[in-house]
Amino acid sequence: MKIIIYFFSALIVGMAYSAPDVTALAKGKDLYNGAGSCIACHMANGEGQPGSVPPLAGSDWLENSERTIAIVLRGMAGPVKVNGDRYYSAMPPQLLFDDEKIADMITYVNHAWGNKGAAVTADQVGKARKALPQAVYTPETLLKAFPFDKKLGRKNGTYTPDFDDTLMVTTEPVVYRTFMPGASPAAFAVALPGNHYYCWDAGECRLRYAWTKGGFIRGNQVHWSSNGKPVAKFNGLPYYRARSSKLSPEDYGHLAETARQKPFYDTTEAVDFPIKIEGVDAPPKYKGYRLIQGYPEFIYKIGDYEIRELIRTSKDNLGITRKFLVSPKVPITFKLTPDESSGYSSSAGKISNDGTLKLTAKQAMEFDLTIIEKNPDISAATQIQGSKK
Amino acid sequence: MKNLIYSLVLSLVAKFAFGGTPPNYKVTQIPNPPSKFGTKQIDGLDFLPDGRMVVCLPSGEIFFYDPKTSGWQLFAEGLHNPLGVIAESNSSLVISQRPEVTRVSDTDGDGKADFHQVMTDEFGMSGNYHEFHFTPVKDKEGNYFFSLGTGSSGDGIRPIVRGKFDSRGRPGRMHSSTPFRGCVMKLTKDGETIPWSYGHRTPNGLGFDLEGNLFVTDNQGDWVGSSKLFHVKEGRFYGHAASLTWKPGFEGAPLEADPKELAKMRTRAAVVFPHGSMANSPTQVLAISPDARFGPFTGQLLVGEMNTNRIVRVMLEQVGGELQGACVPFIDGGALARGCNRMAWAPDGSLYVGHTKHTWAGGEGISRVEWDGEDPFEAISMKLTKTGFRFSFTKPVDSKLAGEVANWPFKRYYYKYHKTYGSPQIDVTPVKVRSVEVSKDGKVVDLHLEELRAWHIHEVNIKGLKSTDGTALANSYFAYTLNRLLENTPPDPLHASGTFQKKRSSFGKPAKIIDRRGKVYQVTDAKLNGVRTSNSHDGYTGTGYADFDKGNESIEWDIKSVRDGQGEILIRYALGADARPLNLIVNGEKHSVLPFPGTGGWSTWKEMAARIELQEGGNSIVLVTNGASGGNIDHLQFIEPKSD
Repeated sequence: MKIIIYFFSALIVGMAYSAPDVTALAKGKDLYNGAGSCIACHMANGEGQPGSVPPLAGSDWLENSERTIAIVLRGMAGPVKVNGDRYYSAMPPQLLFDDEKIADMITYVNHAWGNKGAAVTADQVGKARKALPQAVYTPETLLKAFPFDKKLGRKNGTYTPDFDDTLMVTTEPVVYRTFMPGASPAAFAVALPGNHYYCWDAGECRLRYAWTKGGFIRGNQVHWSSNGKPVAKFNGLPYYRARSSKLSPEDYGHLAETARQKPFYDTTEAVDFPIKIEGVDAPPKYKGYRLIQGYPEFIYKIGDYEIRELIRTSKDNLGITRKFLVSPKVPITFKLTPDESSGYSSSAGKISNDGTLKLTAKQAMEFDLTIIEKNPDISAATQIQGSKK
Repeated sequence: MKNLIYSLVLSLVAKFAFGGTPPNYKVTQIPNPPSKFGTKQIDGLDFLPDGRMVVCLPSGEIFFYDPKTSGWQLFAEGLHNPLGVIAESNSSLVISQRPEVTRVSDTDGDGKADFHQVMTDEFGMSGNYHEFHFTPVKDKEGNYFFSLGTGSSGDGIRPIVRGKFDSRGRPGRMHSSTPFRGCVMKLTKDGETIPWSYGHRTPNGLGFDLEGNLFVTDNQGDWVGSSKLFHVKEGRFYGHAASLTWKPGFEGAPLEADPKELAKMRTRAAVVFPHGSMANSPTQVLAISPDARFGPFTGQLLVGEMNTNRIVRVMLEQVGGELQGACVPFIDGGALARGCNRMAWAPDGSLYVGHTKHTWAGGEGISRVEWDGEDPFEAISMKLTKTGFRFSFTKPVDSKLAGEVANWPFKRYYYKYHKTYGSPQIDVTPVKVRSVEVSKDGKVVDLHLEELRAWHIHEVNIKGLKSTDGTALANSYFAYTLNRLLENTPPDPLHASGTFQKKRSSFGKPAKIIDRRGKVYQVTDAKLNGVRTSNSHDGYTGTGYADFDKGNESIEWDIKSVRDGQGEILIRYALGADARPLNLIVNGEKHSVLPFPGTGGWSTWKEMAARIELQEGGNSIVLVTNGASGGNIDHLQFIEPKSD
């Protein structure tokens, strides 16, 4: 599986401690939070993202400035162990910045969040730029050139990635049926190219939630190879969650549980199916799915009407687009549940303030609904507890 | 599939080593499919019309294998624990996976599945891990049958369940709280889904005999004294109580029924596999078809065994209108792996076996068993006579060895029918052989026993028997499930035991008026987070009480105080178990851990008091679980701070 590049940033280290220049620190901070885009992956607190982006705060990898400079200049892709934790991602080479800017960024990282590494000079970066081989490092090649000593080497280095790790970055759709938190036991987990993920519930024929940060479900081999008890986990928080009057916000803390005496509700009591057709009261009935270029197109029926739903990454990669086909021709009302963390738009008709979308029979034959993550830097309002690794 | 102490199994198996694979059968291994998860467990196995093999893996991957090239090809992926497959054509499979029976097809001819069509999902899923969905099989008319495992008390159920939840089926070691768990199901060729038989626990394996009779195995556990093989007939009940929840005409909760009444309803097994010596977790049933190249046993049944490296052979006969018969180890030990879960006949007549384990005792990989064309020295049948049993052998026996009564050490016993796990062998009694008759051709041996007792298992481990050419009997351990005699069968003694809960109305009675010192806030006035209200126990006030479950649950009352100061709260609760402490949080700050000792019963209500600082106006009082469940909480009584 090809690795998509994360826009990471710099690390650092020092052979001898030298007091950092205040101006260099300020410039480095600006670059980290701005033009360098380091913050997008390594986050403002330098803690990275579980499983995908290694932390900079407190990282043992910063012990050697030469190694840090090499990573920033040439990039590194592959599985790495940092302070005992595993990450599978890629740091792109930083081609847009001169020696001084790179030195400032590294100096900042080396002193932020309680780090106590050395300041780095433009001269150091310039020498490395000339001397280092012209190739993106793998963890193996990097550590051959800049090894850890025995003590740090126990918790830092590389590892053999398992299938979970390769799923951190998806280039083609991945479809699994498994136990998902916040869905009936008949659930789908789907990963889309562009790293959007969603849970679709065949028990109620509806999209349950979508997320993008933190990678796809993890550890699910345990579900498969064991007795089937574990519910899938993922690191991110959903930016979209379909609301249902059957679940109160408080219930979301419990949706990964397996040890209940009784359920919150069963699917025969499910209400709020979002698509309404006048004169049809029948609950939706799941019929299966077709793979179209690897993407599942879910097929379900309400009464005699067949609905097809195919979900792709939205054009701008900021969210997902759900393509619906309804046949035979009939007007529908689609009840959307907008919230603070996501926005809805439709290719046809107008969505009212309360989230109602009325479509004519013609419009309903084929239409797109796009859900965009709002405020991606802010944690989503929706949370399914227990799904964090 | 069930929980077992592995070392115990091993020691029992070692103790009961009665023979082994006959020398005329060779077991070899097939290379494993290239699963991207590295899984080698095989949960489904069949052959396509074109001679390729299809296997299902726990990872949801489906692979095709070409025996000519030994090459593997991925056909589909992403299924949910598929546990059985029927290859209907070279491009279309019918698969049992957790949520459905699904037709998985390649419709565009590129060799990969692109269409997953639901054939039926009209059964429930509580989300309990043990609710396996086993093996689809297809009869000659085109109807499908599949079987649904019960849930295990090894875990509970999920917050959202599929299908109608019924609390009557929820209690018990193995449970059935959503439709048809513990049933064999029929999906008719017209698409109708029908619960076909009831009373199954872990029915991991269906199969037909050559006459079209349907069979299912079950695993030892609650209500199943030892593992069994049942002849499945419409509407019958086979013993495990939980699925009675879904049986039309059955009233009340399964565990509230008298086991003797259940025993009267149940159909006895055609074959009981003695636990620890014959099979511990039987799996699929496969008839030895005329197309099989597998020795002189056509029409008999093979039954896989999960715990040990064994495939059992079953010989049935009709007695008193029902099938019953004997079982004997067949392919046993040696190169055969444990976990013999799925079996199918290859076009060349050899047997392919998929091995699995799912954390239980079992194995991995695929075995192939070939017969060399020479008859092994084995019993071809064991049949009931009026006075004992008649064995027929593939070869003439040494009449001197066979004629020795001491070489036929019979014993009989039965297993209890009760809700507890498994059963010891009861009333184990040696049965003397009065005389032995060997036929002229030496192939038939009649054993006349001192007594035959109906509704008992009769087993024998034949000692030292050889054929006239000096070949030792390959497998000598036989267990015959003697339900009915050829004539004058006494009524079924039921063998049932155990206590049961008395029936009670599903709604408890509310309490009579109690003294009140302050204002009472019912739980129905509170904000409940995760906690559900109930009224099934007696003695509550208001309309019910809050029933804490595991997990992070809380009750929040908003109480009004007329002034600042120290007041008192009295929390009325019942707890028919040991202490279940709850955290008390007052106005957002943790106040204390209230110990909530047991009250002596779920209908015995007591009060737990706490003094708390209050502010004038609204006050938030929260009881939240402390990592475990809490008692049943009836109400909160609030005594105002005194004025100075």
